[in-house]
Amino acid sequence: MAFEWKKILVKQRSIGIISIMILLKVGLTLLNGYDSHYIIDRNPDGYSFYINQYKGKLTEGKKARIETEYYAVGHAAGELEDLSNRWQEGKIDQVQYENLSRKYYERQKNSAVFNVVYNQYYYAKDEPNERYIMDTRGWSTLLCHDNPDFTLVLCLIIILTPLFCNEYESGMDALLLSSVKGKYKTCLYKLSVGIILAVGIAVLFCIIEFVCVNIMVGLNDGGFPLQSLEFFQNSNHRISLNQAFIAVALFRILGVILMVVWISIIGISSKKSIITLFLSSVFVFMPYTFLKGNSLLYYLPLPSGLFSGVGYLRGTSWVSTIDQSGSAVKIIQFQEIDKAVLGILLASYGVETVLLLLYCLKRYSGYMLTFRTLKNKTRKICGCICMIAVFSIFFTGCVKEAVENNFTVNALESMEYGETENYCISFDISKRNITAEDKKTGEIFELIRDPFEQGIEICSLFVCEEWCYYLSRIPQVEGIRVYGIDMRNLQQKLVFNNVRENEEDFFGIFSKGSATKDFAKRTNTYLPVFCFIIDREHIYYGVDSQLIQINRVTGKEAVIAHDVAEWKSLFYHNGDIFYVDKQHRLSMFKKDDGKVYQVDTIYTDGFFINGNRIEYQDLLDGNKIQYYFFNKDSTF
Amino acid sequence: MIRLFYFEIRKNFLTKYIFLAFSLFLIINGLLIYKNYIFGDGKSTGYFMPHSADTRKQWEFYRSMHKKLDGDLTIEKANFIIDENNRLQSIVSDGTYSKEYQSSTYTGYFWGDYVMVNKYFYLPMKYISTYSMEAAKIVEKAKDNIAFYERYENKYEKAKNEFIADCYSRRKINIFYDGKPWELLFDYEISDLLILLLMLLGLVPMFVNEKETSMGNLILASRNGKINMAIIKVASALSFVFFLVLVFSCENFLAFKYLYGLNGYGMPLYAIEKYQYSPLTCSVLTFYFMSQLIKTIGLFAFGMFISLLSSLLNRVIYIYLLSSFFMVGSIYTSGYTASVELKKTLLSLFSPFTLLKSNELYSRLVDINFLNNFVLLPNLCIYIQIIIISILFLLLSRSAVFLNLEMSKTPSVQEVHKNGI
Repeated sequence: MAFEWKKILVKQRSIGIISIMILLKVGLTLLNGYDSHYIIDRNPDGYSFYINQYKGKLTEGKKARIETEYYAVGHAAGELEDLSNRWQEGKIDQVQYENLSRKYYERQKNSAVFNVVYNQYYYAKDEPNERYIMDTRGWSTLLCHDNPDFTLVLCLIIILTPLFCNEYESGMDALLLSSVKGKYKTCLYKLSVGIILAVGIAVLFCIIEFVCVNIMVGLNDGGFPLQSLEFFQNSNHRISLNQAFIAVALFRILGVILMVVWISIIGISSKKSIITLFLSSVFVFMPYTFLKGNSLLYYLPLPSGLFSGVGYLRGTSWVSTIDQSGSAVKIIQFQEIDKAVLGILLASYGVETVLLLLYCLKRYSGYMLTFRTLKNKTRKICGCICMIAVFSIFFTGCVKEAVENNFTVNALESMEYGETENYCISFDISKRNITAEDKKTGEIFELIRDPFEQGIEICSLFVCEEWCYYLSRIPQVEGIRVYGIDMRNLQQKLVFNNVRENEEDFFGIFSKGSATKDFAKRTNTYLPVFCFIIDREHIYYGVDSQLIQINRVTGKEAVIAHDVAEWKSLFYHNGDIFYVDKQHRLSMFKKDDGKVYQVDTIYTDGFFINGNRIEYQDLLDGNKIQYYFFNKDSTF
Repeated sequence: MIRLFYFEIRKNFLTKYIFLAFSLFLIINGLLIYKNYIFGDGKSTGYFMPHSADTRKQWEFYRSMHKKLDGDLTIEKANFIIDENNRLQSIVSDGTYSKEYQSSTYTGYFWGDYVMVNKYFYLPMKYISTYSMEAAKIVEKAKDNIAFYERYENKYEKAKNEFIADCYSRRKINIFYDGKPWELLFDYEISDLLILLLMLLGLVPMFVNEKETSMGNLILASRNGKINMAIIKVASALSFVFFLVLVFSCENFLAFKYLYGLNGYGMPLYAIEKYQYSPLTCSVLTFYFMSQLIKTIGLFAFGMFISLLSSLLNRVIYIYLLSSFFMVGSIYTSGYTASVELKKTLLSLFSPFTLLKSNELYSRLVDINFLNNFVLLPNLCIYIQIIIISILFLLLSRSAVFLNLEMSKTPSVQEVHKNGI
């Protein structure tokens, strides 16, 4: 047995392959990220606040609290406006206003994430005993995907193929089969080693997945019912999420055992590595091409269904459509695997594995020995691959222009109008078109001149020095694109893009991204952009009362303010952003520390920055124009 | 040379297991096309309905109507469809129509009739009849842009608009056929996966086998062996790839023709709505053969890569592992074909699998600003892949000769040299 371990791990260099695959698995798991919602990503604290309040079983008390909060969140904007009017009319003083408005302000700030939580509540209230409210992101990442683990499958195929094939290819089979021990025990040892190794790798990969997801987003509340995840809404399995994960891991372990046996049989039968590699890959991957998302996949006597695992726990799912008479009908998309059937299936897999193991032993030892000429021992690897494609351009990032950080700009004006040395550029928000007027000749022309209908929507304009930038979106597709036009030669360049472009599904083996499936994500693409500014390091844009900052190098997106009063004064001043929040307070995002501050106790609806002076309409003093001075570094 | 080529083919590809795998995959491919035909596209509002007892009448109506309308697009045909669409729309528009079976209708139901006429005849006919106007608008805009960008000395935009003005002018569709089955055929890609798997099976052991059996020494000892071995092996590998593409593309075409009834071979490519902005003006049939040819170039590049690995490494396992990694990585990067980012587009240009996606490359004008020059991305990708094939061939011929020479320095050979034989 020890020899077999040594042979497979050291001589066949499986340790190296396993190490590479582990690194690849960790890398891919971290790179793929986790299931989430853009609203949660932009306000994780707000989401945690509500989830911590309502998580768990839905009780009558919780129900009432959520409904009350729903009403309060829905009316927060109106209440805040009403409070502001009362204050301006002198019915309440500033202290009262501040005290009373705080809760409405907080509610309005978190209204988007509350709606996400409310959707969860809406889902949970149909079956309160089975569906709990929880942070589903981590568990959804682990359990709600039926894609095969490509790294695990490839790792097993590569490691297990030489188990028997090596003996045949090096001619050692003749020697082994001539002895009693070699004839029977060697096969048994080989299979044992293969199974232990494969199970070990499968367990390790499951742990890697669990740990990575736990680090990225957390896997709390594992004791909650499986039906808490919408993916399992119709499941009849009354188990917890922890149990479901263990069950999926066990399915996978059973799958790898079955795979070891299949690979061994193919290896013994074909005696050639290439045929074993080929057939193993075909047996595992081809069923996905045929039956992806279909319950039939889980009935096959192959390991493919067991590798996915989650299908055994899923309930029946339907899709609504209209039949030829015009009536709404439901069509089954995925048929649930009944508990009894699951038991029979698992037992069948067990029996299949045992029978195949026995067949494997028989086939190996009963091999009719033909004393072939012993082939030369496989020679050492004599070459290594030196083909490293260097794409230096990949590290250069997007186009760099000479945009400075030291300027002041009124965002309300700049998103519709700007001037370069020779042109006056304006954006017609109703026609979604940008036009430029030549200052010398007075000629007016369109700047976006693509002859084709590309289906993009221009949302905002920003002009800086000789560059005209515009922000565009594709309706129903998440993400933005920022282009810059050099007004000296009218060359257009891409400045930033975070629209997901690669939807490769590997011939149907993997599911396509669900970016366009989420209704909330799609509708968000229609919300108006209320500000757009670019400096050397960042892109700022505002949508849905949120001010979003994008790092131009890393592409990382961060919400720097959740409470921006849309279409009210907003200024960019030397890297910092001044805006009016929903409580009418003049606020400032300071770039140096990335925090938002209230500028003294200024309450206003409109202001203007001129040099280091803020001219504002003072709500505390009958809308009189007041002045406020700040230092060059925006300190007060 | 020809004899050597034949022996290589026989040795590497005319084997029992390759023949079995090839036959099995041909059957699988046929079954898969048939499965898609029976189950439809699986979308509730999709174009291809399942073929079942429930949809039998609809399909009958579809076929009989196409029989009646296919061919030259005439005013009579267009008026007939417009009238039918208007009549049915007026019945279903207020939602009070009868949902019971109606014997006087085409499909048995008012709603079914409306959906069939609107989706399968009215909208496609509307697209065809208005296409020339849409194309003229594009040309007009492009011509306007040429003068505009010339003034600003924007060479790239000027060249691009010149190309558009030239390529999209005089476009007109005079015939009516269902273009969707053609679109389905162009988008069908499972056969590519099967070809890739067969390539792994056939090409991975090609050079390794020689090393394992020490045939390399024998070949190199012959007069023509040193030079010809690599050329012959590569030629046989490429022939194998070409054969696979030929057989599978023929099978796909025949299966789609038999099941979906591909009609209108001479129909221009832009008669298919998805390809309305395609820079190609050829017929659908020509495009199919062209896409298969382009695919072959991409697969040649992948075949050369496997062959190079096979000549460099001694174990099948490593070649298979590296080829799989390369395949997965390249397939992923080929997904960036339509990216707006230069670095991602470049990644896709260097992936041989980008050439497997003619349906995306030619569905619209995909170009690249190459040093301020307008270059069609598919053309650039083809050139790059041909260069890659040439480089890989040079590397392969060198590695095949030198590695074998190194291997041949076994003690017995050295002794022979010492003895001056």
